[in-house]
Amino acid sequence: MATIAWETSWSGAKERARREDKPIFLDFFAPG
Amino acid sequence: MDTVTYPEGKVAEFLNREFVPARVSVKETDEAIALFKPTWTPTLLCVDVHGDVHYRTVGFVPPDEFIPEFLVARGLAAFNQGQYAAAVGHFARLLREAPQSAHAPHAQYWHAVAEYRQSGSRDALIAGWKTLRERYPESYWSRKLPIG
Repeated sequence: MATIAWETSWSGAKERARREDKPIFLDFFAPG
Repeated sequence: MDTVTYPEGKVAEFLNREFVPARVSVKETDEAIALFKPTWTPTLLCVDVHGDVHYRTVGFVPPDEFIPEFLVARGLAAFNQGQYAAAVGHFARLLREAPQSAHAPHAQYWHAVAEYRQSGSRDALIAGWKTLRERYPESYWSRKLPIG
């Protein structure tokens, strides 16, 4: 089964999105 | 989302392939909270590196509607950035793979617009919207059409 390669910060997501030239799927969640 | 939708292999593969997937807890102090101001969870967005929001939704998304819904988002992101051929491709994929999806009428509307922007052909726009009216006559997106 595939595992989702989550970024856990906005800065990390932006950096990777620039590198991979992709949009960001951003999930705001409530823990627990 | 964690117990039903994200564990689906197809959903995970789709997210990894089409997006940079990111998760931020609303209990944290990440700058994304101030930028996008989530008021309920889950809040799900398609954004670009500049912080422009191309799609936003709130609440649980069932596994069978996840890929269709975020193909619309992917298509809108491409469209908004002037990548019309790519946008046509994302909307067409949804219409081919999930024509019965709740998001198919939305995709058919934008597929026609993206084809028009790509080709400059008003006939393509009219034909695409005619298809929308024929295939999804009861949909809200059919009611948005300016043609009779």
